[in-house]
This record gives sequence, structure tokens and C-alpha cells, in this order.
Amino acid sequence: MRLSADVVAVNNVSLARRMHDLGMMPKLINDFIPGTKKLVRSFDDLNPRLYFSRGYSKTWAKSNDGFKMSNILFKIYGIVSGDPSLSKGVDIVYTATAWEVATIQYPDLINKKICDISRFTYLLKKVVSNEFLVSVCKTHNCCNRFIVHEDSDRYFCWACAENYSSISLNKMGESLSIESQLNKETLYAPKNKCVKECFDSSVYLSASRHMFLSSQIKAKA
Amino acid sequence: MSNINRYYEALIQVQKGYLNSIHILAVKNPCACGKILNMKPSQVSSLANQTSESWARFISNLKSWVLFPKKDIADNCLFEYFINNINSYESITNQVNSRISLGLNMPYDIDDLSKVSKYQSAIFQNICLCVLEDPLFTKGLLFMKQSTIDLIADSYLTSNKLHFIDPVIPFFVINNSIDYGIFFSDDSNACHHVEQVLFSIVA
Repeated sequence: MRLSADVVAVNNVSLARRMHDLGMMPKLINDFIPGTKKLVRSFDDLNPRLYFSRGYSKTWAKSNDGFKMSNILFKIYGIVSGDPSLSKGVDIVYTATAWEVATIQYPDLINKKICDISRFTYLLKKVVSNEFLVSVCKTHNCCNRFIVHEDSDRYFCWACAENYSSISLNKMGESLSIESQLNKETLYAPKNKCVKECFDSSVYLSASRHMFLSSQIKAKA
Repeated sequence: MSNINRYYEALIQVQKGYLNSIHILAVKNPCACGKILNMKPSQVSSLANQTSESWARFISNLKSWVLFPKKDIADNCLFEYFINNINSYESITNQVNSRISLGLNMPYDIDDLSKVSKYQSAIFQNICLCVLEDPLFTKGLLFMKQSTIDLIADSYLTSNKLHFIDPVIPFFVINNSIDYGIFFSDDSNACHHVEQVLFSIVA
């Protein structure tokens, strides 16, 4: 059944109001619900706690917390929409509900300013456009999949990153009090900067001198 | 938003009650507890060895839904079976109970068991009401399937509400992707483990 234009308009207004109350920026609301840009401007001011980013940046998903939260948010969206691979694109109603579920279970999202709904929506859009890629954890025996930005250099899912971080490994080592640990070295520490392979001019010079000398000797002979 | 907060509180609160009463059952009647929750004897004993304070502390740190309905012998979800038959006027307790395979002899008159069963009734009612009011939110929080949501939405309003207080043997167990050894032990990482298992995207 085709709804009359008025009903559609009323639905759009209430949907736009809901997204506005959750802290979405007017531009994004207009992207998903066309023709609401002027309308949203007329809504009253928003709780400033819910709205702290312009959304488009990808850097928030790089930190440890952001990486974990981006994956949790993606999973919650998959459960709510019943479409974990986002094959049907992003639906704004599902986005709103997934955001509500996430913020209730993880109030730190807002409190620590990790992510707001605009960032979440852009994250989903970027998964659809393959800017965020799904990759498989490289840890032995863990085949969890996770989403990560294409520029990022993460090879392990957030669960493994949490379990095998230097902090938790050292704590585990302390609790086991292994005797070989007497020298108090940390179990895991990042390696020193690896030496880059670069052009070593002294080697080149000595080699060319050798060649030159040998050719001189041959010429004399 | 305020409404949704209340649904969440109600669901998590009733889960806390259920898990707490399971601890009491494990202390007083370990054998029954093992059979009902599909736990190994070692896991029951590590649960029963915890003090009720430490168990309560663990439960109150739990932010997500960890319960999961059992399947019967024919591999049907028992919760769906219960909802399917909720319109009848006669009691369906015996039908549901006979589908829970519990081994040979199960004493039916344990007080602590009936307490768990009462919390389970509360879980039924809360889930159904929340599904009716906000299906998507409940689905996202409880990891439900769309078919179950539709089933509840179809049959809850016209159902015979007395079924919700029937003494059904508890059939909610801990989600079986969670490692029971960690969940029931006094491990400080248990909360992290639950979170990791529930929110990992598995291939």
C-alpha cells in the first residue's frame, strides 16, 4: 500500500526528531531522510554531551578502545538488523536502535567521548563502501573476524589484543610466578626499532675501489 | 530513551535473580544444579565454592544477557515450544517438563528449584512484554532471532497468562559459547571473557 504524502511526512518528522534526540548531525539526518534539513534546524537545542564530533574522521577507531568499540557496535548492528554483512546497506531505524542498545550497555562510549552516533553512522557507511575491511584474526586457533580501516596495521581481533596485551601477559606471568622470570624481565615488550634496509655507501665505495684496483692490475698485466 | 532504560534494567535485574538462585541451588543441591544447567561436576563445585558475595559481585558486573534456552530431544528450542503452546487453556507444564531431558531420577520437590523456576517465570514475562513494546531493542540486547520475535508478537496478547506462573523446570542455561570453566570460577577475567565471546564476529 502506498501511504499518502502526509503520512510519510509525519513519519519522517518523528524519525528525524528521534535521530536528533540521539545526537545525530543535521547533515546526516538529511542524507537519510531527505527534506528534513530545515526542519531539524527548528528543533530545540540538543544535549551537548551526546554530540561531540563531525563524524567523518576515522582516527577514533585506531586507539585500543575505539577499535574494540567499533567492532562491538558493528556486531550489535548486525544483530539488530539481522543482516550482519550489511548486504542491504544501512537502515537508519536499525542504526538508531543499535545505538541505543550500545550506549546502554557501554555508557563509556559517551562518557569517555569515544564515539557518537554520527561517527557510528559513518562507520557503517564506510563498511558498505569497503573503506573499512573485514579481516580474520591471525592468532593461532582464533578465527574471529573483525573490521578495521584499510590503512590500519592491526592483524589481531580486539579479543586477542586484549588477552595478549603486554599488561595482561605480565600480570599472568606474575600470578604464575614462573622461576625463569627471576631476572624480572617483562614477558612481552615491543621490539626495538628494526633497522631499515638502506643504501650503505661505505660498502659500495670499498667494493668499487676493489673493482677499480683489480682492473688496473689486469691492464698492467 | 527513558523507557528503554527501564526495559534494560528489568531484563538485567531478572537475570541477576535467576543467576543468584542458581548459586543457592548449587550450594544446597549440586546434583540437580548440574543436570539442569548442563554443567560438569567440577564446574558445579567451583560455583558452589564461591561465597555468595563474590558471585553477586560478579553478576552485578555483568552488563549483557548471557542466558540461552535449551533444546529438547527433537532439537526444537524449548522457549519457542512454550510460546507456541501458550494459547491453550489446560496447563502445559507437563508437556514442557517431559521434553527436558534430565537423566533418570530428578527429585521434583526441591524448594530451591522452585525458586529458580519462579525467576524463570519472571524472565518469560519480562521478555514477552519488552518484545511487544520494543522488538528491535530486545532483539539487539538478547540476541534473539526474528522468528522468535514474530512468534511472541503473534501470540502474546491473546495468550493465557496463567502459563507464565506454571512451575516449569528451568530451561535457561548459560550461553554455550561461553567457557563454563571461566564463567563459574572465581576468575577476575570472567566478565571480559563473556564480553569477548558475545561480541566477537565469528566467521
